[in-house]
Amino acid sequence: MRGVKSIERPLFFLLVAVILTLSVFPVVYAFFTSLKPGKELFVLPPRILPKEWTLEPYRYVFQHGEYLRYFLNSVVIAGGTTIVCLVLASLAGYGFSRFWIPAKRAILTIILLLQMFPGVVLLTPYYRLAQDLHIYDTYLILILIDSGLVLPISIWLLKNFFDTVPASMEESAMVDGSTRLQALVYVVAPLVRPGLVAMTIMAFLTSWNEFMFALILTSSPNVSPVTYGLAQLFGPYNIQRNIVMAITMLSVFPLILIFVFLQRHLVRGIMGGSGK
Amino acid sequence: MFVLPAVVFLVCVVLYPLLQIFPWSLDTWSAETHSFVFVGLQEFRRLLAEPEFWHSIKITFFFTGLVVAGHLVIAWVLAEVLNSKLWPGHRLRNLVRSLLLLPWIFSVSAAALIWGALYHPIGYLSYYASHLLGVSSVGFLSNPDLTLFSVVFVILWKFYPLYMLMILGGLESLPEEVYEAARVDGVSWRQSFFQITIPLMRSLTLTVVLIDFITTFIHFDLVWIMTKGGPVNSTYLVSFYLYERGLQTSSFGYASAIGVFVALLFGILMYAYIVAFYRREA
Repeated sequence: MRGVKSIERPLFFLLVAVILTLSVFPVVYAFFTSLKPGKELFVLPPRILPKEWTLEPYRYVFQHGEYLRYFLNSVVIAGGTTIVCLVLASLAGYGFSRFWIPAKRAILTIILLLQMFPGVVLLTPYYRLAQDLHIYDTYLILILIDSGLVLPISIWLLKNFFDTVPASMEESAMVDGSTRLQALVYVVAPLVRPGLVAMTIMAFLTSWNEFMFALILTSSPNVSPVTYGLAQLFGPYNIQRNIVMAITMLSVFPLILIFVFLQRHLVRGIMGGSGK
Repeated sequence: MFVLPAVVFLVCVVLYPLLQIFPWSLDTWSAETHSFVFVGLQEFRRLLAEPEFWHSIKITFFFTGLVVAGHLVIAWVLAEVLNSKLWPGHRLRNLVRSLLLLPWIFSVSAAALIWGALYHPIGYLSYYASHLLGVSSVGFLSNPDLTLFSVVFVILWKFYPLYMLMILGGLESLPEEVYEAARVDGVSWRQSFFQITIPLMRSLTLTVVLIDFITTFIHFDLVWIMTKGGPVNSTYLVSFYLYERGLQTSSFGYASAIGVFVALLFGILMYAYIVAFYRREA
């Protein structure tokens, strides 16, 4: 290597190792703790690896319906939010990209500002709204709010993707007799798939991990998402730590799967786009 | 036509509720009639006269300053490492980048539980820290002098990936030729960092600081799960004040007044940011 001293690279990798340890250690610790039997939790000095590996904590979680219910709630809320955002943001992103709209720049700027607006300020209005409309402690209120959180950035993201597709694509489809909506779904949407995938991931991730509004607007285990259920477990005198870590790992597992999936998809999308 | 559903949705679900706090802040909530009663600026006067509110503001500024500074340093160091020429190939670099994004996909609850276990009085960190320092117990989340720093560390860990990616995106788009030219001219690494990189990255860095400041200043969830503001109010952020004194006591007028206060602060910051940008453009 030109310009690289022999000492530089070992030092560099030492730095990388330190950084990786700091950022990944908590996750590794949580993972191995979730594989420990209960009797190993208070062994001193504390160890990272289990002496005796067990799936007992995970079995405990699956045998207790209350935890599974939280997961079901999260699936409904995150799934609902993702669908709402996918439909509304696709239409809006396409509209903003293709049509003349009065005060378009102003509207887009306001949408961007909404994205940046501090969520805490919305606590009071949402609390009142939920009570006035009698939708406190329902899936509906959380799906609405989470969609409101993700929609602005989704519209921007998809608008930018639609901008890269030439209008001639759907025009030729429309000459062949399809409506604009059909052209959007069957011709344009496949071309912006990386954008749609990225948006889907973002919507799912945000709503799956949302906690603050769930804390304030739900109160029953029949509706509350898994973030709420997890927060109930925080504290020194709660259920055993290996079980807590098992639930924690289970709550992150879908996201890790999606994340691995996403990176591959994004790369493929970019490669496909540049190959044309 | 196509944009209408989303715009209507945003107006109904975000904009309209948001704007309501302004009229509400001039009201007080009457528990008997279940309605708002106009009281003018009374709730603001009550708010500004409350020492606990100013305490929470002070804590929040300190907390935010630590987090923003910490994120900036971490994001820059990690972005420079990922952007380094010392990587033998893209494959390894991309793997490390993916691993560094890991904290990002953890929910605040999951992060709180993991760090709660690490900080636990008989947990991993406490054990080694107390042995290292020769004290019986460190009390990461029970010592009022320490707890704020403990939670700041968790916040730094949980939220750095976004800022790292932003800075990395900026570094990757810097013009390679300028550095080549500087190297040919015998400019040292340090000089090129301060004379080329920093000036080129100034507006992006400003954006990172702004976004981080806004999100951290009104941060609620992670610290709430871990401390509820304690011990002895040492981590009592302004959002906790809004939640406990406004919402939990059903003082919706008061809570709206706090909301307006935060919104005004947000407005001033945005304005300063835009002015700073336009001045450079002009």
